[in-house]
Amino acid sequence: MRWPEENIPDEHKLFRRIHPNQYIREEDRISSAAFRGKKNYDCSVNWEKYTTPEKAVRNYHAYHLAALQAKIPRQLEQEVKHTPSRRDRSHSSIIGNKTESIAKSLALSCVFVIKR
Amino acid sequence: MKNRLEEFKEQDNAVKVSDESCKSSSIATVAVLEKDFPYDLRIDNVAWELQPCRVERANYGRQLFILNRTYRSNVYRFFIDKKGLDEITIFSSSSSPEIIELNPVPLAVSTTWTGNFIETEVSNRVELGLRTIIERLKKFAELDPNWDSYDAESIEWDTISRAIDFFTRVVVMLTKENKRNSPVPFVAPVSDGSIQFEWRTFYKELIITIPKQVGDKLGYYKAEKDIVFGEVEESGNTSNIEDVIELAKDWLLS
Repeated sequence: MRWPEENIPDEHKLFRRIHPNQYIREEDRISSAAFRGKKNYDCSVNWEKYTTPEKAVRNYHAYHLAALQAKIPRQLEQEVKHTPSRRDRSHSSIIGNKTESIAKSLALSCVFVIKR
Repeated sequence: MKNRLEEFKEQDNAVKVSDESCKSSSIATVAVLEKDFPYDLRIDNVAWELQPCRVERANYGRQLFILNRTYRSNVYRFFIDKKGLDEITIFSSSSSPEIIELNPVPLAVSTTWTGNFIETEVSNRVELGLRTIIERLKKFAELDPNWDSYDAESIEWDTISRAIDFFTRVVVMLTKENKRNSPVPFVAPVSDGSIQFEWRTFYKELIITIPKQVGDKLGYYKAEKDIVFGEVEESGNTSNIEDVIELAKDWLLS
């Protein structure tokens, strides 16, 4: 079944799994590398409307989970789009050129939801 | 007055230079790799790039980098013999030019070859930070495709070796500047297969990105807090690794 694309409200949270290699433990912060995305363009996230923090990391036991509101990337001239896949209705994307400055702002705006 | 060779030998990290001939019969070729040798060879103050360089392994375990070059109508065959952590000897099959220098000076690190990967070992004269970073970088090779759970590309050995080469050069530069208490960077894999170095202090930040593909440009970003203008940022990219080493030097020494 193909899920319909919906509009993500500004105040809704987007979850992003953070690989342990992208977490700077000494400074307790996320590296901007976590938000560079492939080809610096698309960055996948999970919309809280169709997932929970526990579900978002269910099969990813070593990963941290960070969250940021949808309005944050929009303020950075990124498009936030619901891009559901057949297996994951929560799948969404932060679309736009991720300069280092933008990736850094996204990383700094995150809050940890689950920290390993 | 000392000649340049004597001065060079007296340096803490001097390269041994010899005009002995190396007997090619003692060499058993194990691998011939088309890889960058991470040093520039300078002869009579002329820089010769050692790439691509034939790499052969001697049958007694040493490694030899062999370079054939014509210089001032003479053909020179250089055997760059790596024997241990701190020693590189250059042999020439013909009479050596007076001065041979290797840049960066190799004492801080020793580079050997394992399969298709540059294995860089660290002498105990260099801070623990270098060893830690290199070990961390090597571990990135264990990341399978989709390692970030968002379809990330794997981190190739070639990218790792270029990252090690970059960082080694930065550390050698710092060692030469006698700057031993510089901040240690955080290194992170990026989902496009590149590697990111991050240096950060309370008031400034530097990020260098080593791209996945050899021909792609290196990225840099620096930011500094200014009491008048807030955070001042500068970013860009370059094809020349020397540019980002210089950038790192300025950032780390200022």
